[in-house]
Amino acid sequence: MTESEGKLIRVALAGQPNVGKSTVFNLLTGLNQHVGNWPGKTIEQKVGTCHYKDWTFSVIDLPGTYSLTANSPEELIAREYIIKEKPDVVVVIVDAAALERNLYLVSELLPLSVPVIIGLNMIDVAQQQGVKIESHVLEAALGVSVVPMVATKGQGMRELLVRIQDVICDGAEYTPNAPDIRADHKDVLERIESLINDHVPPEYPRTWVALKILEGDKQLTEMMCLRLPKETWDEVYSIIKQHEDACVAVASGRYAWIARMIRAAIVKPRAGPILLTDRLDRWATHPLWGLLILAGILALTFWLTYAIGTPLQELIDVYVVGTVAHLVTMALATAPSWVTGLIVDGAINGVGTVLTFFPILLIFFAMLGILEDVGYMARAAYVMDRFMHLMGLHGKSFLPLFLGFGCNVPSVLGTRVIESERARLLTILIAPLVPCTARMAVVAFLAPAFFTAPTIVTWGLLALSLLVLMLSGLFINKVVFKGEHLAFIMELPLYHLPNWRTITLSIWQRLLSFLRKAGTIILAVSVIVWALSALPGGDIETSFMARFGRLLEPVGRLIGLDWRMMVALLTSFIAKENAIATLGVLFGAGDSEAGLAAILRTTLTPAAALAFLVIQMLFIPCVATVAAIKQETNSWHWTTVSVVFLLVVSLVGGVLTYQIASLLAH
Amino acid sequence: MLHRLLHIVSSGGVHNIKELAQQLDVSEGLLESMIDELARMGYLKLLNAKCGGDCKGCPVASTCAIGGSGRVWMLTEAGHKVAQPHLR
Repeated sequence: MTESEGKLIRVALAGQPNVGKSTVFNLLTGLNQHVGNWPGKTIEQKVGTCHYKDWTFSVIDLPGTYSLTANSPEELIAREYIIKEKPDVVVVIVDAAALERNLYLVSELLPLSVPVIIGLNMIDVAQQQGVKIESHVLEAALGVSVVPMVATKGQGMRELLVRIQDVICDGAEYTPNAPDIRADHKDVLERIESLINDHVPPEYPRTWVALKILEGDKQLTEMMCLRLPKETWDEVYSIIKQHEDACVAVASGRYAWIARMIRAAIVKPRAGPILLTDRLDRWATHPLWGLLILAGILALTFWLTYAIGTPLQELIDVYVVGTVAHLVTMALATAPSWVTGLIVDGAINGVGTVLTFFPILLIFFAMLGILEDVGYMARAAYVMDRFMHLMGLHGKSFLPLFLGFGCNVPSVLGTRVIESERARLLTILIAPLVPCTARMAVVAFLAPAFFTAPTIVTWGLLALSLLVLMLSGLFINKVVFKGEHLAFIMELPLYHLPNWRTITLSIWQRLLSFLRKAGTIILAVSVIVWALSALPGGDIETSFMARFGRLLEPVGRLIGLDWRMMVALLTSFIAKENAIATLGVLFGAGDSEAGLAAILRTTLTPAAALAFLVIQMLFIPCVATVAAIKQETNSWHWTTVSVVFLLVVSLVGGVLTYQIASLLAH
Repeated sequence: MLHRLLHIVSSGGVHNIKELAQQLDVSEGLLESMIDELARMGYLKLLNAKCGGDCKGCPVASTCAIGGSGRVWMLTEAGHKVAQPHLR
């Protein structure tokens, strides 16, 4: 065992940041300290002396580090000091309230063959948190001295000094219970150790160097590369290459060791108070109940939309849009008819109708905002995914897709993180099938006009969308790709009471961006549609738009839709809300007493309306999303594939819906 | 320990931290350290890395449906490969 020179004991103080190491250092050395820099570095070095009985302790404060890798100068300084300068003892200060994290550093220190003593600090904080640590048990488990202390109250320092003396003077061998590499890699470790054995500098512990090399430690790998004869190094190198996952085995060993120590030494009330979050989550994340809860919440959202939103929306449509149209017409009585046409029949009929979405969007955004803020959205995504997993869609998680519930663009962009090209493409292809608020707003507008139970219809459409999503996903995956693996770990944040300010802000932001869209794209499209439907003769039935629209009528007949509805579908490519705007322009919403909804009721059968809605839900995405797809796939080929795929799916869906619904209606 | 975590995760789907901690019989704090370590090694990848729930500077803030502080990690190709040989 190490002999102290005279009665001087050299102590190195180690520990992770924020564990009270400086406090301990100051308590021990008081004014007898000297601050400088580590040689050649800008990192602060503190040394000091401490006297107790007839002993002198020379204490050096090592930089605070979480571990002892070669990745930062602080860590290199700490470990080089311990290895080269060989202090008599290393005292590692550990935060009792964060023992798991702190034990990682201990696990790295124990193999270094310098005696370690643990200063178990902040036991008062730990006690407050209900964590009780049996220091004797910990001592026995670790095989090193453990000194409980509360540095902020100056408690434990004398104990520490006494223990240091004991360790130095005790002749017994130092046998800490250090972590091992994971069992299946033991032989690899031994091979490396035997290869480097004769060439490791004497002050470096051989096993530790071998372990570090397997871990991929830059500094030590370089050191051995220089010191080993070429053939030996080549052998070592080939072993490293063969076992690239050895770093996992090394770290694994440490964590298994930490878990064992914790299990032994910490006495925590087993379950603790069961948080409300956990209680709620037992239902919310249950594969079956969770899904039902989600379905229920969606149904509630739609019900609120129709109970509150729709009446308001109709009021706005008839009284605000209609009145504004009327007033403007009168104001423009002297203006050329095309100006009136442009503004009233174009802009107001188009954009105005879309602006009636306001109450509907307000409710959607409010629900979305509340669910997000409360913390439920994470569970919704989680449950959806668990359900897919239950359906046998193993490894095919589509978490990025759930970003699509506000808008498809972020979900397409979100696929960027998926590395596997195939999995990414698959996800991009089906991303547009996730209903966005724009699509839902269109549905929310039309559904109450035709159905006495719009909540059920809307809910059904949503379920249909998701069903198609799952089926397409399965199909594309099996047939086109070969089954990719996507796996995620998700942290479910605690539920908390909604912060109304955050929610209001989020609603406000979304409404603003909607207004911006309305004022630009939708306005532009409305005016263009009006222009094309007014030229050349002023009569809509002979206009360019009509001529073009009639080309689509053969397809329309299969779905029970006339050319105006078909054109409306097409304009939804620019922005989903345009479907309504176009209908507003082509049906002359502002001209009549009733709103657009009432007009449509006279021109469409419920079966056709349903078909229209189905197509709307499954149709090709808006141009912004298509642009995002082109950007992310970087290929016109795949962009075209995605557009064609959705076109086919939506038309097939529409035709089937119309034909079946018409049959049932008779 | 780490390989068991990788193995469980690699079976696919979404796993939540609480559930994983129970399966491995460790505390959530230790599990998070393990996850951070695997992320550092490149076997897990933290998605929405900039998402600390602070939507102010975020380009997709106005449309993001998953706000809030829940972190999400994805198993990388490397992680998946490493998880496989240890099927016992």
